[in-house]
Amino acid sequence: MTDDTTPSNLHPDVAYALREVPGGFAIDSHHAEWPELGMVLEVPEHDKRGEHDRAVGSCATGAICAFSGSNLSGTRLSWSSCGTYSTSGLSSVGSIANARSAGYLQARTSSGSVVATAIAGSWSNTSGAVTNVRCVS
Amino acid sequence: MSDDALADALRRLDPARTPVDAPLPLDAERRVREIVGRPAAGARRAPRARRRFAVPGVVAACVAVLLAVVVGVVAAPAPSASALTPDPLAYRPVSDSVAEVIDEAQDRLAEAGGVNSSERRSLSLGWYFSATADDADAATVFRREWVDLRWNADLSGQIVTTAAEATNAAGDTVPSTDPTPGTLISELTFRRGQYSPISFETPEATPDAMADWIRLVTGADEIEAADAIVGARRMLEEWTLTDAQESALLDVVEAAPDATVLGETTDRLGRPAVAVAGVPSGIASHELALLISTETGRILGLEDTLRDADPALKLPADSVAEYILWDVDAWKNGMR
Repeated sequence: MTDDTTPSNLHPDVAYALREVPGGFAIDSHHAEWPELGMVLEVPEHDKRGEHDRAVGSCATGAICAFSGSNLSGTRLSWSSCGTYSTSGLSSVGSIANARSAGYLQARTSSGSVVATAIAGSWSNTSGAVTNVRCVS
Repeated sequence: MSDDALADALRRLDPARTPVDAPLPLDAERRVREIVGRPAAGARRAPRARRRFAVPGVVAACVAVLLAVVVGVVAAPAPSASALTPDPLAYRPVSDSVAEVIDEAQDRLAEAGGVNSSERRSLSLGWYFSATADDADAATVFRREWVDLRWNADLSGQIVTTAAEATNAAGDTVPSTDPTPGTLISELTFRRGQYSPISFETPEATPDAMADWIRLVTGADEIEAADAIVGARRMLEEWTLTDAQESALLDVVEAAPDATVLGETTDRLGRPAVAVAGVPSGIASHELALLISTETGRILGLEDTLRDADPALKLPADSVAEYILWDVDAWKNGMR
């Protein structure tokens, strides 16, 4: 039987919090408690794979997204798989988000020029006449 | 560990800040609209200006009941575009040219009592939808949202998105499963240096400075009307501009050779406006209309209408793809 509170079995976020915040102890690999602070941490269930993929704004976990507005606002087009996609459904692209666990997402013009890049788990505002997005895994 | 670092660590571990979308299939939405007998586009209801939470209880109840029925309905007749999205704004023709319309707006902006200092803040009320473009079976999700961005010179800041109340737009309905108005949708917080605006400072209140900025954000060499409108949107998504800056922005719109006047109207909040429009040169399936107040001269909003059917968005021609409204503080604060 393995002990999932040993340091090597802790989720990285739990390990990070225990390292940085004194007075805590691990309940299991995804839970920790700080009695004096009255604080309990619980890592989301979907992170139990050990991956760090998570939603970026309203861009769902695992997806790539283009928004008509800056700052992840406005109408949203999303794709569940990595590839190169036209954004013609949007009158303009103001921001992009990459909610995948690896790779990067580019916002590009019709000539292929890259005007913005979002690495895994991040987003970026764009400028220029974006016509497509390209996801590289 | 600093407070900021602790807050960041906790934030990263908090799964509750981004709720899951609650989609209603388009077919169901469409069928419900037909069953409740929503008026056709040409027979719009009188505007219910200055009224919030405007969905009548009886209609809401009907929708709730009928939602249980629509799953079994088959072979529904082909919907009209307005059955899916808000009715397009109704425009009253005006004889004024683009130059005359904008000159009048600039005269109003020049009057005392307007906005005299810019602010690193953008508050908007918008109607949008979300589509999963590579999944034909995925539902399209309608959203009505407040987006409130506040940021600082040190590039710290916050974006708070909350579910918004109904406006007076006919057909401006979101699924009953959407969050209730006021519900926090998402919250993005930026520590010092983390926020990356398109424009760290506002351009000078001159037409040339505004035109240069619009070229930068749109990539346009020769600014067309849609470029100017998109540029205005980008600016207003980060800043609250002074009247003088908005006047300079309107100069750029006026100079666009393809700008047209759609006419006078009232916007989704019942505010009197005149609309100037353009079609993006690279994306001719959209028409963008900039709404300018006929009371203050300030830019009130933007309407994006599909000229052609769009399979990626799963919407037919003439659909309102989105609208976004600014100068809405009074509505957000419940004063109207």
